[in-house]
Amino acid sequence: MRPHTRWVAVASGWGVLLFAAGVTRAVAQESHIGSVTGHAPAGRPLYERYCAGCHGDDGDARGENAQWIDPRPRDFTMAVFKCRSTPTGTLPTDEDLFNAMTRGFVTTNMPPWVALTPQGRADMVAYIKTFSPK
Amino acid sequence: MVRGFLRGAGSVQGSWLVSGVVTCTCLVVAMAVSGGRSRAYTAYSLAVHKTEAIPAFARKYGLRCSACHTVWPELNAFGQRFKDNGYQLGNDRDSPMWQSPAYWPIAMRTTPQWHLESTTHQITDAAPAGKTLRQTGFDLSGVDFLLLGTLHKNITFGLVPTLDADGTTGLEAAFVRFDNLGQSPWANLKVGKFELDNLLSEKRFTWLSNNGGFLYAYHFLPSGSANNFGFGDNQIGAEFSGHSFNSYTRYSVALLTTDDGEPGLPGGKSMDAMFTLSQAFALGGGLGPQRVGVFGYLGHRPTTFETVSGTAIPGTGTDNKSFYRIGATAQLWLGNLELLPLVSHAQDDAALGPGPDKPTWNNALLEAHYVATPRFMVQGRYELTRMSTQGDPATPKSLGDADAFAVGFRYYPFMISRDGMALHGEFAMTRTTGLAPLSGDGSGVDPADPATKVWSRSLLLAFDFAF
Repeated sequence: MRPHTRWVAVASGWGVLLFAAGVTRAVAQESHIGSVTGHAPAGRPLYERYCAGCHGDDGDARGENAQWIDPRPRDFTMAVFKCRSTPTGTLPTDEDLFNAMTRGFVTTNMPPWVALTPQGRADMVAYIKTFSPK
Repeated sequence: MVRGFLRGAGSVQGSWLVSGVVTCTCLVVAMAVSGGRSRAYTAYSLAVHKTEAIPAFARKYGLRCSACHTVWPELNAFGQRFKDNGYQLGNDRDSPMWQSPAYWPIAMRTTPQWHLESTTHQITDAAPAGKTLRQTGFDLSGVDFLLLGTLHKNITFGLVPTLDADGTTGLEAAFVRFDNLGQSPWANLKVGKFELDNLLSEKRFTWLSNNGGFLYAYHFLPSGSANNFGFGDNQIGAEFSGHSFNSYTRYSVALLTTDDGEPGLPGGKSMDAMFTLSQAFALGGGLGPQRVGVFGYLGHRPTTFETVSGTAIPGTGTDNKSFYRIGATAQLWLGNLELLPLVSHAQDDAALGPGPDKPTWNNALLEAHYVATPRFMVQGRYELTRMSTQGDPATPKSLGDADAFAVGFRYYPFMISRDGMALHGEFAMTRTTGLAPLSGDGSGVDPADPATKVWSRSLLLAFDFAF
C-alpha cells in the first residue's frame, strides 16, 4: 500500500469514528418528558442564564455563589441525585430531573422553575445530562 | 480552481489534501451532529453569563441577574413570578429571619451619561419664529434607592426614594403587600404608592434617553387638557391581584386616589379604577412563554374645589369628570427575538379638555428586542399617536399627533449576583404636530403654527449601573 493511500485510510477511519461518536452524543443529549423532547444545545444558554451561578459553568457545583449556599448545590458531574424514582445507585429518569427543576427544594436555595416553559426545562435536563459520562 | 490546484500539485500532495479535507469534514459533521458542545469545546470557550436590576434580591438569593431578567431591568417569566409572589421564591428562605443580620435590602441605580438633544422649531427670545436648539454634554441621571423585600413571610414591602440630579428628592414608591392570602396565590393585597400593573412596564424597560425613555401611550394628553393622569406614573391606592402557580394567568384590580400619585390628597374625593388581565401560553422555543393581555383604567378628575382666599383646599375636589384608557398588549417570543406590541384607545370628558367635545385618541406601538445573550441585546421601537377627535373642533385634527422611533443596544460586560453594569447606547427621535415634544427638550414652548412638525432627537451613551 502506498504511503499516501494509507494516510487516506487512517484519516477516513478517524473520521468515521468521530462521526459515530457525534451521533451517539447527539442521542445522549436529548431528554424525553412525556411528549416533550429536550435538546442539549438549546438547553445550554438557558443553563448559563438560570443555573450556572450556583451549579457552575461545567456543572461541577463551583458557581460563584456555591460557597455561600448551604446545602451546597448539586454537582452534576457526579450524576448522584437524591430525589428520583429509581433504585439507589442508579440514575434518575429524565422526568425525575424535570420534576425536581419544576418544584425546587424547600429549605434549600433551589427555587421552583415552574415559570419556565416545559420545553425550556426539558432542554435544560438534556444539557445537565451532558455533564456526566454516566 | 480546486481541480486545477490538485492537478498542479501532483498526486502526493493531492492525496494529503484529500486526507485533510476528509478528516476536517468528518470533524465538522461530528461536532455539528453532537450539537457542537463537547467537554473539550467547553474548556476553551469563553464563559458567558451574567444579568440584573435590584441587586438586593440577587444578593439575598444568590441568583444571577439573568435569572429574573431577560436583560435587566426587564423581567422574564421567572422574574415576573418572583414579583407576583411578593418577591419570594417560595423555597422557605424568603423571611428575613433566614438572612444574615448584616443583610440590608437596598440597591441603588444611577446612570452617568453623555447625550445630545436637538429640537426643531423652538421659540426663543432671540428667535420668536423658531429655531433648532441643540443641547449636549456629559450629564447625570438621578439616583433610585431601591429598598424592596419581605418584612415577614408573605408580607412584602417596597420603598423607593429618589434623588434627582438637581438635588430634588421624591418618593417613587412606598407600599406594603400581603401575599398569598388564605394560602392562595390568587389573593394578594397591596396598599400604598406603586407602579400600576402594566403589562409593558415603563419602570422596567430598557430605554433611557429623553425622547426614548417614556411611552406616549402612557403619558400623552391632548393640547389644552386639564387632566394630569399618566399611565406610567406610580399611583396611590390599593391593588388586589392574583396569579396562577406559574404566573401564566394574572389579574389585578386597583382603586386609586385621583391625584396621579401626588401625596397630600391634592385631588378629589372620587376614586379611579384599574384592571389588567393576561394569559401566557407555553408555545414555541423562545426565551419565555407567549403572553397576551388587556388593561383598562377609568378615572375621574374634579373640576371644582372648596377654596379659602381663592386657594383650593386639597382633597375637597368635586364635580368629577371621567376619562378612560383601554388597550391590549402582548409579549411574544420568536427564539431570541422578543416582540412587544401595544394598542390603546383613550378619551377624556369634555370638561377636562379644551373645548365642547370629548377629546379622543389612539396609540399603537411595536417594540422589539433581540436578546443575543444575557449580556447583549439590541432593540428598536416605533410608536404612533393619532388624535381621533379634538376637544376644540376649531383646532386641526392632527394637532398633537406624534411619531416616536428609537433604536439602541445594551451590553453588560459582566454578570454576577452582586451588582450590574450596562453600556447603553440609544438614538431616539419624535415628530410631534403643533406641540413641543413630551421629552421636555428645547424651549418647551409649542410652535406658533399648529401644523408645524417638531422633530426632537436624542443621542445617548451611558453607563447604567446598580449595586
